[in-house]
Amino acid sequence: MEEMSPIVKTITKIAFAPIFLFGSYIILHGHLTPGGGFQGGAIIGTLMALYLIAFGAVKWRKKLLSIIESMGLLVFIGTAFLGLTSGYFFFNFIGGTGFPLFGEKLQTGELIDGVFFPSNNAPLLSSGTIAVMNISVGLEVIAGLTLIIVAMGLFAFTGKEGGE
Amino acid sequence: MIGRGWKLAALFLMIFLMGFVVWEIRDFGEPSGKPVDRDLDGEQDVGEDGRLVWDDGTGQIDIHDAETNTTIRQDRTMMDDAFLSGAADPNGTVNSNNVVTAIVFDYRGFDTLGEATILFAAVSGVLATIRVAFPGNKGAKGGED
Repeated sequence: MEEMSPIVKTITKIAFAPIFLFGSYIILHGHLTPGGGFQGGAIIGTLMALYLIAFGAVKWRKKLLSIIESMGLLVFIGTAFLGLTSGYFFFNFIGGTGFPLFGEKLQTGELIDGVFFPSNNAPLLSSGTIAVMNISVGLEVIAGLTLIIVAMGLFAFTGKEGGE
Repeated sequence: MIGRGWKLAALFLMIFLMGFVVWEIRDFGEPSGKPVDRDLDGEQDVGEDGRLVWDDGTGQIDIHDAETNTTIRQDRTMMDDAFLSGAADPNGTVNSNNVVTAIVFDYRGFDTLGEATILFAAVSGVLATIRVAFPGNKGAKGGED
C-alpha cells in the first residue's frame, strides 16, 4: 500500500496522541465511567486503521500483537477462575479487601427504602477484578482489531506480508 | 502433533471445568427490599389514557434527580434490588461504583467471556482465511516477520 499525501500524514501525527489518550482513558476508567474494554479497544483499533491508511505498509509486529491478544483472553479467563479459590466463578476476590491494586473500598452511600444508592465518588483503584478484566479485554480488542485490519490491508491488497 | 488421547483428555477436562463452574454459581440470597406485589386486588386497573395502572405504594421505587429536583416513580423487581444493593455496596463482594460494568464483568461474566472468545475466534478465522487465500506470501507457512 502506498502512503497518502503529506496533509493526511501530518493530521494523523497530530491526532495520534489525543485519540490514543482518549482510548486509554475509556479503558482505564471503565470501572468508573461509561465505556470499558470493548469500547476503548475499538477506539484504539480505529486509530490503528487510520495509521495504516496514512502511512501504508510499515513494519507491523504481528507476532507481538498475537501474543497480546492471547494474553488478554488468558488473563480474563484466569481471573475468572481465580475466583473459584474463594467463592464461585467470576468472584471478585480483590474488590474491597484493601489490596493495593484495585482493592480500595467504596465510600458508603445512602440506604433509601431498602435500596442502596451509592456515593458517586469512587477511588480509581477500586472494584477489584472488574478493572483487571476491563484492561485485559481492552488489550485483547486492541490487538485483535489491529491484527484484522493489518491482515486485510496488507495481505489482501498487496499479496505479501507488510514490511517491504 | 498432539495425540488423540491428549485431545480427549483436554476435552474431558474442559467439560469437567465447565460443569464445576456452573455448579459453583452465585447465590443471590434474600432480596434486600420488599417483594413486588403489582396488583393487590387481583384485577388490572385501567387509567384515563387507557394504559394499565399499577397499585400505588407497593413495589415502587422513587428515583430522585438532584439536578432537576424531580422524582420518578418506577416499578421495582427483586433483580433490581439485588443488582443495585449488591454492586455498589462497600461491604459487598462486587464493590464497583459503575453498576453497568459490574453487571457486564461480574454478574454476567459468562456473557463477556463468550464475547471475548468470539472475538478471538473471529481474528483467528480472518488470519487463517487470508493465509489460505494468498498462499504465496510468507504468512502461509505461519512464519512471522
